[in-house]
Amino acid sequence: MIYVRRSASIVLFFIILLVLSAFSLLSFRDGEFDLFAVLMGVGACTVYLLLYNILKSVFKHIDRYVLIICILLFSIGLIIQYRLNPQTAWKQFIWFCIGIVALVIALLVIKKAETFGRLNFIFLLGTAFLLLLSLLFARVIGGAKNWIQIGPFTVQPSEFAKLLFIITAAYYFSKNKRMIPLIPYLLFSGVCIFILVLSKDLGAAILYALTTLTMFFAGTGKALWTLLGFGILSGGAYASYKLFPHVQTRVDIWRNPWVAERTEGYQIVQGLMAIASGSLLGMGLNLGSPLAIPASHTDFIFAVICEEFGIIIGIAVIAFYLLFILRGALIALNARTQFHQLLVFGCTAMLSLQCFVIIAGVIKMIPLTGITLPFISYGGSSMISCMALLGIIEGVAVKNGEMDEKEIKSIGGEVL
Amino acid sequence: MEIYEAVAFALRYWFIFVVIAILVCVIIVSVAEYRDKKRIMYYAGTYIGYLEVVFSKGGDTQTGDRFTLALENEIGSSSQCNIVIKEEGVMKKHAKIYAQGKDVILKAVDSGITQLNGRPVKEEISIRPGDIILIGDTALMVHLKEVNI
Repeated sequence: MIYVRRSASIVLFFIILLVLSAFSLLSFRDGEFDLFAVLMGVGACTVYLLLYNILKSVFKHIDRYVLIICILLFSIGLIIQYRLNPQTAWKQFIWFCIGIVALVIALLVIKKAETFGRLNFIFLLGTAFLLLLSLLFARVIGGAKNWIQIGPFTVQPSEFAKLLFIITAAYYFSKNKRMIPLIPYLLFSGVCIFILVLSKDLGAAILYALTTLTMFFAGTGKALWTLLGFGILSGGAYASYKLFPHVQTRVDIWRNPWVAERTEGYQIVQGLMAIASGSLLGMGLNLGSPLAIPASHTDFIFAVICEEFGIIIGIAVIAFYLLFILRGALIALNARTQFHQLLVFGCTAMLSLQCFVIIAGVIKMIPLTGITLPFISYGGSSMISCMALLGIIEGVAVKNGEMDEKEIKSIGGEVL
Repeated sequence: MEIYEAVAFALRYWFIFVVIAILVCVIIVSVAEYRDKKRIMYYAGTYIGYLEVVFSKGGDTQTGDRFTLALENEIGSSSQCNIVIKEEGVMKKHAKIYAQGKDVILKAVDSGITQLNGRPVKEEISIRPGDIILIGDTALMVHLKEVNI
């Protein structure tokens, strides 16, 4: 009995076709041939091929399709980045390469470690330290106080705190099933969320809060307590709406951005107009005017994708995120210990909530909060943390695969 | 620039085609892989181990062939058996291997040669991992899962 695992080479081939054709098109956009565009396309394809084949041969049981979905999303992002500004595209490409290192490190750590045991307490302190760091020392960019300048780089500590936060949450929710021992941890996450609200990083605050609640429910299965948590969260959201003026402006803009289309509502109005002018099939690469949207390369990249590639591809991007969630959930269900289940579940929940919050914000479904679209938006910290989250998911996938192979071998089968 | 616009306009369809193709590929393969895996893990859960051919005189079975062991198995040359060994000296229904509680039992059904580690098997005997079973002229090594049902 032989279990043949499906290869993802055909999908990778399609991705390479997409990248090469898009970059060849972009190389002629100014009327004369731009060699760097072609170089970037070829470079990206080389990195993809190396990444896929090396990871596949070193870690036999890696989930190839999760990796492929991440590569595809990054490719779409890279094409848009190059179209907006070639310099940020090159930077983004370098961040992706650093992200690969983060992925491999996270994968190896998760593959070796069992539950991190007492280290979790240090991780807990680390999370609080990183969040406090951004509250105390960060510069204010775009209304939120979450950027720290270190030499020539600006770092976003809340992105790295995510990783530690998920690991500790998975540890405490898998260790304790009763409510009372969990209260200190829940208070701690409440404090973390409060620090984020104080730093005006509302997107991250929502992300942390919803991830904690979903992981709490997945780990303990207490529906009533989860509902109570949602109640507290809604109460907190309402209180911050009443207390903070910047939250009020956000909600007012969301209700009717057209009143302030030249001032506060400018960004979301431009985003909506970009999506509308793209219509189903898009305007064609480099034929739209996405530079009119503020933050078009980070938070509003989804609007640019819809404008130039069309809403069909926009929906396809959402579908890829859904597939990512689905495969993440399957890996979580297949994991052998509850810690690993919760770990993968937390990473998947964090990434999917992040997509939901920003995509729904851009299409004016919920009030806009500035966070990045995983794997697509420009941003070093965000790229590295997303790749590390992916590494955690892959690490558990590798563990599952090894256990499965052992079982299949015990009945005389083989895994190819 | 007009040429660029025309090409970019036309390539919209190509991009949509490629992305949709990738999406369809990923969905189809994910579903197929999920089904395959469910099936094989079901077998891995129900089967108790396997027999590996360590010696054969070279009929239909080759050294290294593997036969999966279900909870109840019939060994013989008849195609009605679930472990079919078409070799000289193997009767139509030669022997049985079945799980009983935590033990796995080998039972000789016909008068052909059935040996366990070189000793003839008269009726029923329990087998362990690493044992060698001789059926006719074919030697099989027993591999059992660590925890049996």
